Amino acid sequence: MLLPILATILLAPNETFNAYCMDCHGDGMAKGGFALDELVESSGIGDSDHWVALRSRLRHRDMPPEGKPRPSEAEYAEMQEWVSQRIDALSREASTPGRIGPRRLNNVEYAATIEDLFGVPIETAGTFPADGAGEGFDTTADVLTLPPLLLEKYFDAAERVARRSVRDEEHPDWTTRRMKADQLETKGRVMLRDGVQWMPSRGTVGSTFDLPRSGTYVVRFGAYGTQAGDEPVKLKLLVDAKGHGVVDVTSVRSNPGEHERVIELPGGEVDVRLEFINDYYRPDHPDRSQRDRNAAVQWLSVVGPTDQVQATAFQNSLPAARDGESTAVSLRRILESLLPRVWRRPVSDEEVDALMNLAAETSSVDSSLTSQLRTCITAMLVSPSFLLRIEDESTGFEPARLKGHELATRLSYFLWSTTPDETLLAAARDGALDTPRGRRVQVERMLADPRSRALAEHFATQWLQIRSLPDRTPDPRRFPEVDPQLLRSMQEETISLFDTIIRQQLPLWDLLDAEYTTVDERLAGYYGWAWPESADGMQRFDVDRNRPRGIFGHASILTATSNPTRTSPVKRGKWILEALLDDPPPPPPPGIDGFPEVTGDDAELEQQDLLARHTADPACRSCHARMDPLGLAMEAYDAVGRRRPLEMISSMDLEATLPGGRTFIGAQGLQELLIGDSAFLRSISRHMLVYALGRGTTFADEALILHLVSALKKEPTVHHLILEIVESDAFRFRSSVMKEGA
Amino acid sequence: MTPDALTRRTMLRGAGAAMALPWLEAMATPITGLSSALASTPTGQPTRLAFLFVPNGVHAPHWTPDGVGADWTPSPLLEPLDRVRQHVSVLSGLSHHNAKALGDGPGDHARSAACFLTGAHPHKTAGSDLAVGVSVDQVAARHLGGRTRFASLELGCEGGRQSGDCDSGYACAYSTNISWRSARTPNAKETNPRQLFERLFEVGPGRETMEARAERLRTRKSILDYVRADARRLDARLGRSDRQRVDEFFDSVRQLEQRIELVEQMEQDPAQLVSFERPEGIPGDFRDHLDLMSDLMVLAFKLDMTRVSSFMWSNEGSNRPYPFLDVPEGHHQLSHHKGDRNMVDKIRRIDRFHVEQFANFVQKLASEQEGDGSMLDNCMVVYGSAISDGNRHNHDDLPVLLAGGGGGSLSPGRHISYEADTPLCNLYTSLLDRMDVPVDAFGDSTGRLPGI
Repeated sequence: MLLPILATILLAPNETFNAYCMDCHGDGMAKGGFALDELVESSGIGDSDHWVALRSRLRHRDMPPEGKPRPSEAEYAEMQEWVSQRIDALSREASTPGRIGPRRLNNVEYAATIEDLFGVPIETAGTFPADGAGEGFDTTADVLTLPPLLLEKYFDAAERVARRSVRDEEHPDWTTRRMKADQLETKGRVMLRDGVQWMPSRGTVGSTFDLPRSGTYVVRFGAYGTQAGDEPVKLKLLVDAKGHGVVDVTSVRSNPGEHERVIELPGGEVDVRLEFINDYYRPDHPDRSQRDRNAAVQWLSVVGPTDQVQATAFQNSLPAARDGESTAVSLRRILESLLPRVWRRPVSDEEVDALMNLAAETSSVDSSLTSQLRTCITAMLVSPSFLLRIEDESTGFEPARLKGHELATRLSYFLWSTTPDETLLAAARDGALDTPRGRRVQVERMLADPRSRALAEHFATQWLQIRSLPDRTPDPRRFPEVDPQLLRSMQEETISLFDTIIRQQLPLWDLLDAEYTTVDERLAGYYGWAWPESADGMQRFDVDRNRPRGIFGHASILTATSNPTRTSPVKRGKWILEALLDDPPPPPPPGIDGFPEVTGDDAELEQQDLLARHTADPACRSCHARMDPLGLAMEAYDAVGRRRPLEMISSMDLEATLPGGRTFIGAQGLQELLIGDSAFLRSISRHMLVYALGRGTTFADEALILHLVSALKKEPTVHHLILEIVESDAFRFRSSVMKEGA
Repeated sequence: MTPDALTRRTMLRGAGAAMALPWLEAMATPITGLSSALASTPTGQPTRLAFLFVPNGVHAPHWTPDGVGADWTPSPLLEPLDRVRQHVSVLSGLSHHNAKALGDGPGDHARSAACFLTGAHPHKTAGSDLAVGVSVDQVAARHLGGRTRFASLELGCEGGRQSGDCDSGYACAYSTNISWRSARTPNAKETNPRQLFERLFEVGPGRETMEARAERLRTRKSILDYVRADARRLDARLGRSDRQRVDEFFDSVRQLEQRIELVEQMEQDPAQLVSFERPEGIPGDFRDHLDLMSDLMVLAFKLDMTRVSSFMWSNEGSNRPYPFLDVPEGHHQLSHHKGDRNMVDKIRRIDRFHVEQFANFVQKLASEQEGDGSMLDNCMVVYGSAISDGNRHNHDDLPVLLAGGGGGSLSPGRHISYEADTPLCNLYTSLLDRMDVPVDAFGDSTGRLPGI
C-alpha cells in the first residue's frame, strides 16, 4: 500500500528563492506564519498545507507582493516545477485510501432503489426532508444524517411499498371503503344535516380513496332528494374531476335509494365525488312541493377491485409457493431470496430468523402469506441494513480490501445512483470484481446501461451548480417568459450534453467546446431556433454563431450564476474558478458580500464601473482580480442566458486579463484558453472523486488526483476517468480504524 | 393576511364538541399517568415554548424602539406590533458571541443560524464532522418528551439547498437548520403543510378507519422492536467513530415508539375535535405558506400534541424574492444595501412584513381560549435572528421579540434594554426555568435574564 518515499531528484532553486522570497520568509522571518527555508528543508508530510499554499501562490503570481522585485516568467516556472515535484513525492508518501462512515441512501438513491427493487415509484421531493449537501454533493456521508422525522418518512414509504408491491391472490383485495356522510369532504354550498350531506344548490361531496391498484371497482352511494320540476335529482359521478356518467336519484327521504356504477379506476389516491348538477328553485310555484329540488347523500363507498387479481412483476420475481407447503416455509424461501437483494449483501440465517419471528409475532392464525410478506418488506426497508451502506472494518492495521458486495454497492451508487442489479451481484459473488478485467467488464456494461444517465443528472448538475436551478425565481417582471418549466428545460440541455459525452465516449473538452447541443422545443424557441416539424422530445442542433459553444452557451449556467434581477460577473467568475478550475477564491473579508443592486434601464451597463471599485480597494483586489475578468467575459449574455442586443455588446469591453498575464476576449476566448488546461482536468477529477467516495479530499488523496489528471491528459474521456477512479485504492480499500487513530 | 386564509382558519367544530372539551379533558386525561405537573401553570395548562427564526438580520437602525418599560414608542419596523403590543416585549442588547467569526473567517450566515438556538460556535467544515451543540428547544424536548405526542415540532418554509456549499465553506446543514437534536445531528424540519397535518393526526393511507390505524400502529411497534435488535447487531460490528448514524437511528426509533404509545393511549381521536381542512401541499405564495404552517403550529399547541416548536421562516442567507411587496430582488442580495436608499426601502418592507406576520401569529394564539384566558397566556414565543444588521453582519444587539405570558411567569408589553453583550442564551436559561427544565447554564449563558 505505502509507496517508498521518493528521493527528491531535482535540486531546490535556492538562488531564486533567496532573491525573491527569503527576505520575508527565511532566516528567522516567517511573515504570515510561513517560513520557506524550513519548508524546503523539511521532509515530512505535516507541512502539506504549506506546500499546497505555496503552489497556489506561485500559480497566481500573487507573491512577492506589489512593490517588491518580481521573478521572471522563467523563474516562476522553475519554482513551480520544483514545488510540483515535491508535492508529487510527498503526496505519494501521504497516500491512504481513507475511511467513509456508514452512508445513508440519499433521497435520489432511495427512490431509485425502491423503484428498481419493488417497481413502486416514490416521490421524495416535498415529502422527505431535503438532504443536506456537503463538499458540494448530496452523496457526502457525513452530512447524510438520520433525524427522527426521516425515519418516520421511511416508515410511511415502506408501508406503501409493501402494499403496492404485493397483491393478495388468495384473499383478493376486495375491500369495501365506506364513508359516512360526516366523513365526506364537501365543496360548494353543502351542509351536514341530520346525518346526511344536504345539497340545496350546486355542489359536490366525496372523498379520496387509497386504492391498491388499477382495476374494476363498484362505486356505491346512498342518496335521496326532494324532488321538484320535471326531472329527478341528478348526481354526476366525478373521478379525479372527470365525469363518469350521471345517476338519476328518484328516491325520497322516507325511502332512500342505493345506487351503483361499475367503473375502472386507477391505483393510488383517487378522488371520487358526486356533483348535484340540476338545482331547481321556483319560490313562487303555486305547489309548495314543486318549489325546490335538493339532493342528499348519506354515504359513499368504493368496493373492489373486483377483477382478476394479477400478481405484480415484483411478486412474479419471487420464488413461488409450492403445493402443500406451509406459509412459513414459503415465506422463508422468499426471504432468503429477497433479503440479500434488498440489503445488497449475503444475509445470515439469524437475520432471516429475526424476520420470520416478526412475521409470526404480528400475524394471526389465518394471516395470509401476503400479509406476512408485507410486514417483512416494511421491516427490511426500515432496517439500517437497507438505509445505510455499511462496510466491514479492517481487522488489523492495514487497509481492508472491500468485499465483492461492498464494491458492487459502491460501483452501483456511483454510476447509477441505485442498487446493484443481479448481474453485478453475481459478479461480486463469483469473484469477478476481484480482478481488474472483471471490474472493467462491469464498468463498461454499467456505463452502456441507461441507468448511467444518473451521472449526468446527479454528478454533473451538482458539479456545475445547476441542481437547484428549477427553484430559482428570476424577476418575473423583467423576465416574464422564464418559468420553472423553462428552467427545467435549461437544466435538461446540460444534462443531455454530459450524458452524450459519456454515452458516445467523446472527449470531455466537448463540455467546453461542443458545436452541438440537444434541447427541447421550449428551449429551442427561447434560443430562437426553428423546431423541425417531425421532431418531438429532444432534438440535436448545431450551435450557431450567435451562441458560444459548450456549456458557456447554456442558459442553465448563465442563469444559475446570476441574481434574480441582473447578471453577476462576480458569481460567474467564482463559478469558473470553483467548477471549472477547482481553484475557489478565498471568501470575501467579513461583512462584505455581494454588491449594490442596480435598478433602472442602464442597470446592466453600469456593472463594469461598479466592478472597478473592486480593483480600487486593495482589500478586494487580490481576489476580484481573479474573479471579475472571468465573469465579465460572459457579459454578452443576460441574467437568463439571452444574448444581449448587438449595440449593447459592442459597447462592452469583453477583453480580460488573467492573473499571470494571459488575455482573452469574451466567452469564446476564455473557452479556448481552458481547452487543454490541466486545471480543468483536475477539477472534474477531484469533483468526481468526492462524488464517488462520499467524502471530501485531503492531501492523502493528492497523489491519486495527480494520477487522474495525467491519465486524463492521455485519454480525456469520462469513461477513462471512471475506470481510473474505480481502480484506485481509495475506491477499493478502506483504511483501518486503528491506523487512522480514531 | 390573505382573504382565503380566513376561510380555512382553524375552526372549532361548532360550539359543541371541542369548545366544551378544552385540552385537559379531551387530551391529557388519558395520559396523566405519564405527566407530572411539570411545565404547567398553576391552572393546570401546559406552558409552550416556540422559536421563530428570520434570516439575514434586519435593518437595525429602524428596529430599536424609543423609550423603555411599558411606555415605548414603536420604531418604523415595529409599528405592526401595535395591535398586539400588550403581549410582546422587545428585548434589546442581547448578543450571540459564538456567531462571530472567532478566527474562522467569513460565513456569518451559516454561523448565525447554527448558533441561534444552540448558542454554540459551529465547527467550520464543508462536509465532514458537523458539530455545533444541542439546541435549546431540544434540551426542553428531551426533558418533556414522552408527555406529548411529539417531543417537539420543527417547521420551515424553505427546504434544504441541493447543491454547492451554502456559505463560505460551511456545510448546508448549518444554514438550513436551527434545531439540533445532538451536537452532530440537525433536526430536519417539515416544510410541507400537508405532510405536517398527516403526521399530527397520524393520518394513514386514504381514509383509514380507527381499527385499521390501530392495527397499523401495532405492527409498526413490532417492527420497531425488530429493527432495534437489527441495529444492535450492526452496532457491535462498527468502529466507534462510525456509530453516529446508528445512534441516530436508535434515537429516532425511541421517539417513534413513544409516539405510538401515546396515540394508543388516547381515548379520542384529536382529528375529531377540530375541523381543519387537510392542506393540499405547499402553497405557491409565501404568505399562504407561512400562514398555514403557523396555523398548524397553533393547532398542535392547542391539542397539546407538543409543547416545544421551532419554525424557520426561511433558511439563513435566503435569497427569496417578495414579489407581493413589490420586491423582485432576493432578500439576501438586498440586505447588503451599502446604504442605497432604494434597497434600504425594500429591506424595510421585508422586515416590516415579517413583523406583521409575527403579530398575526401572536394574535392567533391570543384568540384561542384556554382556561380563563387565552392560549397565548401559556406560551413563550421568541422571534428573532442571530444577525443584527444584515448589511453589517454583526451579532450583538440582536433583534429579539418575546411574546406570551409564560403561564403568568412573563410580563410582556415592554421594551427592555439590556447591557451591551448580554448573552441571548441568558434568555434561554430563563425560559428553560419556566418550562421546569433544570439547567445550570446553556450555551454561553452567564446567568438568567432579569426582568422579563
